[in-house]
Amino acid sequence: MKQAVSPILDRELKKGSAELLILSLLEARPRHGYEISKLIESESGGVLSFNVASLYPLLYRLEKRAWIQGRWVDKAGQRRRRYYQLTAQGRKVLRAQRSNWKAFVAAISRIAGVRYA
Amino acid sequence: MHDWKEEIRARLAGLDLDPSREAAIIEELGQHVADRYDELLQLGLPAQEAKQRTLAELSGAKLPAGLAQAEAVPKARFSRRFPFALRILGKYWKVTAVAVISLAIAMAASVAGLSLFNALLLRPPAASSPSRLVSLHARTPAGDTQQVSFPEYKYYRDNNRVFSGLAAFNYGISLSPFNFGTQTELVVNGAVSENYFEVLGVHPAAGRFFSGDDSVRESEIVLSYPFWQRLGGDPSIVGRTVKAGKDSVVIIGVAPKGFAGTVAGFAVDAWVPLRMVNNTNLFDNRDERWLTPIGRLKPAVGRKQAQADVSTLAQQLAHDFPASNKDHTAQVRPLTMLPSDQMALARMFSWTVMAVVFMVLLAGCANVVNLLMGLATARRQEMLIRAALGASRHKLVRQLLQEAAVVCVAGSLIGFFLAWYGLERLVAFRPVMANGLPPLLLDLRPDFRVLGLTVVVMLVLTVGVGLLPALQSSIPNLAGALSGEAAVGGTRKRRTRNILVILQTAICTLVLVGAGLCLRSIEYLKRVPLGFSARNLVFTYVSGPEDTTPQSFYDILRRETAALPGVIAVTRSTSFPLNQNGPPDRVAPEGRASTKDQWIDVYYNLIDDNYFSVLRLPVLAGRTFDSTDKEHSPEVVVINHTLAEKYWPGEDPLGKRLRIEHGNRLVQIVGVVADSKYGDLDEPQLPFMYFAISQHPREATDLALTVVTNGRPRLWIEPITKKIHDVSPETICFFTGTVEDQLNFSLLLPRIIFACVSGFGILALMLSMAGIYATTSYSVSERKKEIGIRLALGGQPRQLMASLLRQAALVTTLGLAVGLGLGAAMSALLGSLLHGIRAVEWPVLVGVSGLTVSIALTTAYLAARPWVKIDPLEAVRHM
Repeated sequence: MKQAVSPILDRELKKGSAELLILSLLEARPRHGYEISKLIESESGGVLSFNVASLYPLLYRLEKRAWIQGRWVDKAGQRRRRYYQLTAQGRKVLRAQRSNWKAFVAAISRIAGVRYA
Repeated sequence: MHDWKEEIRARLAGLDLDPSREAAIIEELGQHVADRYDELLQLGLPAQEAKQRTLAELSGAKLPAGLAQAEAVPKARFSRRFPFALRILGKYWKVTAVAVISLAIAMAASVAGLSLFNALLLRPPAASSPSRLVSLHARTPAGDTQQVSFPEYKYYRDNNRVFSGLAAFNYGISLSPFNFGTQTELVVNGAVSENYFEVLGVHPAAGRFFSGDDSVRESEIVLSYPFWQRLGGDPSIVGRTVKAGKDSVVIIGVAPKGFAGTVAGFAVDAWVPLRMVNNTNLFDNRDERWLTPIGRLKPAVGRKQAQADVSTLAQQLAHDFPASNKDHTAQVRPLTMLPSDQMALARMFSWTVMAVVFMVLLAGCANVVNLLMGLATARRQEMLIRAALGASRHKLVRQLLQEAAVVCVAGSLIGFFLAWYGLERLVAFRPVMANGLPPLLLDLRPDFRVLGLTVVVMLVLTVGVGLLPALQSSIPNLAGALSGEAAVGGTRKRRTRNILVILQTAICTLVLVGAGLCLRSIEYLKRVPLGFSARNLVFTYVSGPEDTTPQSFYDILRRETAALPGVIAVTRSTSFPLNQNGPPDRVAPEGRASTKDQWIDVYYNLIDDNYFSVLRLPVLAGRTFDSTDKEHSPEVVVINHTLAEKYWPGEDPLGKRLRIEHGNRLVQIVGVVADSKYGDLDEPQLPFMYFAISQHPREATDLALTVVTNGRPRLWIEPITKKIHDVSPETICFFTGTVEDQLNFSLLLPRIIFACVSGFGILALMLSMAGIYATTSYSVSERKKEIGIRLALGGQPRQLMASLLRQAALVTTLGLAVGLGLGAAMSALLGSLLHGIRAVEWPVLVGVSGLTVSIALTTAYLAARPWVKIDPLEAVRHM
């Protein structure tokens, strides 16, 4: 069952983690925008969702920072799509963000008394 | 299948992204949305519902806002758009150059007109906080504005509650010889109160100003900065004593640079305190109104409050001194550089110039609009492609407006600096009208007011000039292009161009008619009968030496001058013919002096007994002055025909008497002479009186000599002035010249007006001819294919040219008709302002028509000629 998250929490959490999500999903292989949005929804069990209005501005910002790189790919029988992949700098940033996120979650857990079963 | 790209494009329209980037984003997002729609269909949703849900995800401002932030759309779009505008204008540099030059000419004319308007009506004196300065004027019961007398000024100065200081000055100027040791200079000086500079808030460039202490008796003088520079610019001149006739005068200071006093027109060399004016009558007589007070408002006091205070004081004066001030009021006005009685003339002149300038500006704008429309026509392919790629009309209009802005800014800047340079040169020129007359000085240099107005004009121009071509050209005829039609919006644009040319031609015609009327008026003025013989006359004013009575000095001068070879006669008066100076006397016929409306102002001249015979002014009745008219014998007067008819129509006025208000005297009429011109050529016939110098020796201290020669008078100027200096070396001759010089001076203002209007007329003509050239060129170029076919089929170039010229003639004739109609109306309106102008001046209308039509047809011929000579194969190849 899809867990319900309040809209406020959804927005606040997404703000802090959006970049980490995108970079993580591109770590394995290049993906296009639609694929990224479907993956986020499916991997999060429906908790997180990015529509076109929130996803692409983020992708373009990351591209401007040269953390990801986009290129057009023509495949036979398919629409021409723009695929994004991590750059070397993007990988460094991903490592740093992951480490920060772990430290952040651990700190919150200690204070808020979150225990894992 | 739904066009998702269009949906995305519509939502991104306001972002003004780079076209290629926008296209990429639209493609990418379009695919995402298409995938989303397909997903919803696969989930089983009906197509309509799937579409609605997909569209819902695109709604709101989040997408464009997010993309705007992500793309960091620069706030200043200009940095991306203007280089493109510059590239386009550079590509069509010929059209751009003509447009910029047209606008520069029109703007230069506008700036010159605005500068004149500013100098005459707006610009205050170069004083501290000029907005806090006001001038005070007396108003007569008839509503005329006057200066005030010295006792009145003192009363206002000592009893007001609204001014922190009240100074006074005289709008007239004096010419006095000053001996600076090695040189004697004729100094243009103005008399001012002791606190004049203090009230104006200026600080000396050297030395000090007047002390403001009434007990100071020493004669002092303050030099103007330009005059000080002409004397060498040495600061040690301060404290030096110079001779002014018999008096010694101390130079106490120099006015600051840029300060030219409070009178526009003559360049004042120096200021003297009022106490140096050698005429006690001016200080005691309440009827001698010769001063204009300037007051600096106290802090927190406004003009209304000042007016109320001054009105109360005026009422008190009217109560205390009914003989001089009954029913007189006072008025407070912002301080200007022109006397109040000149303001109406200055306003008329300035607004006339502004009207002409506006028309020239309109003609220039019409030209630029025409050219920009032609340019847009030449770029129609580019417009088509941009529209096909999705550029909205709003974007196309904005691009064209930016190009128009570049043209307008460039033209305006060039025009402004052209005008600035020209006006600077004019101010530095210091024209001298006649020998000895001081140079005119009107500060025409553009200041911040003119700059501000120019910027406003430029902004209005940009919108006005750019909007029409932008709106017309931003609807490219896509259907026409698909069908291969080359004339994009041809008929509508051609009509607009023709209307613009008609407008330009009408304006040009109107301005040229104005110039023609001015010229005609000058011709009429030249033919005005003077009333006296103007042949072979030399005039000169002579300042006599202090140690001789004027009559003795004159006797010597007359004898010595008459002895010169070629001199026929010499006479003396206090005013030259055509150069009347001095205030009028108020007169009324004896026995009717109690009736108010019998009193009129009559100008007069003190003359010698041979004056009428020397000038051949006909004596109509009675006699002229003779040896029986001595200082202590009963005072007599000779009047002119107009004065005789005024008081005694059809009767013999000889023996009757006039009461003169000044001195309350009765004078007997002994002679009547013919009317003549006394001051200006276009003056109405004035009543006039002559008195004998022999009966008023103390009043005739300045000598105006009139010498009749038996040859070209200009040849005698030097011998006469040399003879005068031989008789008395320290004597100064000034205003020396011939009657032609006097006539030229009388015609100076009409000539200046003619020069201005004809100058603008030539500009308007140039602009409208450029418009005709451009219109004809573009019309013909659009018909290149047709011309080529006609030539290929055996058409004669002459026939084609005739057809093109007929079209140009039609447009010109329409413009001419409109212009002539307006010109005829203008003739009727200006009839009262320009001397001698009739209701319809046919020579002017015919002359302007001929000039305009011939130049227009020549221009059209030159524009069409290259196209008519085109190789038919060349024309047909581009089908």
